[in-house]
Amino acid sequence: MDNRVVISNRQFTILVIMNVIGTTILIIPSLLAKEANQDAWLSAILALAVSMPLLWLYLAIHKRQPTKTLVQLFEVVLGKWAGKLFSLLFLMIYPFFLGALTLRNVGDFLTTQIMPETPIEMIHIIFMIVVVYAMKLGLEPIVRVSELLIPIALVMLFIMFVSIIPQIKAENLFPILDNGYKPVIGGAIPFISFPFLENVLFLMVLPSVRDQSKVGKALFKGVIIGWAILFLLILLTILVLGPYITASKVFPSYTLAKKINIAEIFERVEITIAIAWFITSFIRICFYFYCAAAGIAQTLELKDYRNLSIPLAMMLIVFSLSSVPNISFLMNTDLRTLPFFNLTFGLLLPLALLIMLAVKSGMRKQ
Amino acid sequence: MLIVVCLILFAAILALVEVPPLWRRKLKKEAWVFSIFLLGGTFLSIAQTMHAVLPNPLLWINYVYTPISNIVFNQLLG
Repeated sequence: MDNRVVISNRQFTILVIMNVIGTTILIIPSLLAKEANQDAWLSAILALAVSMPLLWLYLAIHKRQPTKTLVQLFEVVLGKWAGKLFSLLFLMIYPFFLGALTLRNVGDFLTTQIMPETPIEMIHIIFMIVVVYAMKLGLEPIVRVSELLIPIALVMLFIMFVSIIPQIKAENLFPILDNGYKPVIGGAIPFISFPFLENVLFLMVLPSVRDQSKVGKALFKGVIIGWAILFLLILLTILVLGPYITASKVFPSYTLAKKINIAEIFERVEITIAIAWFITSFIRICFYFYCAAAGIAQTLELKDYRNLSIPLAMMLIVFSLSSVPNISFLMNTDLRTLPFFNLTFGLLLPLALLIMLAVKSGMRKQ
Repeated sequence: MLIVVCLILFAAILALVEVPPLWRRKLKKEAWVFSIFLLGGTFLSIAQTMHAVLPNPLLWINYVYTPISNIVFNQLLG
């Protein structure tokens, strides 16, 4: 690609924060509480501890070939044709499909909680029109808009966290480790997969970051800030709603926002708070969509990825509708099988890539 | 049927808007890739509106990963 995109380190950090929060904020308290009950917050800490080495792994790959994106690395490792074929398969299976699932999360949230009589197709189409518009402008406007929108999202979340504090019931957290450590590990698994293993896709934008010497710091900072927000949310959900209600709701964060009631004046603010996750979900879908479109353009050596966005959006909408028959199927997949799918692409694939890159550079030295 | 006609019209208009500028700028490969993706997208959309059974990657994922998931969640953590 000759027209290279350049984003600043600050913008990259914000992109990481937005992507980690993404749609995760909607469903993660429920997924964690299903497994770990009142120990969900311990699962969250464990998930962060496991995710840090993953970031090292991704950065180690990036350090070996700092100018190449993930799909270009496949080409380096596998050779021209096998690399291209593998890249196309990877792009259609991984970022594209994750984008479809993220879109489905947004659609499910809107149709079950806010607009029950609107067909989900219309919500997906309207959401994707905005995403396509953003994509037509390119990655730089997307990161600039995330820079512009993050204060709104953070303020909304801050208002939510502060105004729910009076309703905390400390006894919801106890007893700690009632069922031993196993449920804590079981709860950490979906949280590691979603969103932390999906961070492998940042290898698609890492070469575009301006100050390459501080790129690791920017990535770590983004992931930790994003995690801290999710951790606070999980803790507050458990503290206010209790583990059983959290586990039985599909979107416990929204239920939590509904609970806000200060002196019967400041109440029914949930839809205003929901602006925060519309913003983060939007940036997340844009990011996955960019990975898919730019990846295809890089693989096929096209001059521009932007005009692929409308056809890809059509496919994305179809997949988001056809591959998820209902919401409980998606929840079950998120909890049970998607972690292992993510493990394949987020851990095994980068590990193999790193080993092959090391072997290649070792051979060149001899 | 109306929606199928609309989809085909939409795809045709989109092709008319997007392809000639690419062709004029001698970006033939880009034009081909765009056309193939547009054809695929239109085909999938029509299939979806006619309630055809489309390949479902999520089912494949479930099929492939259920054994290991059962081992981890039922045996190791059960």
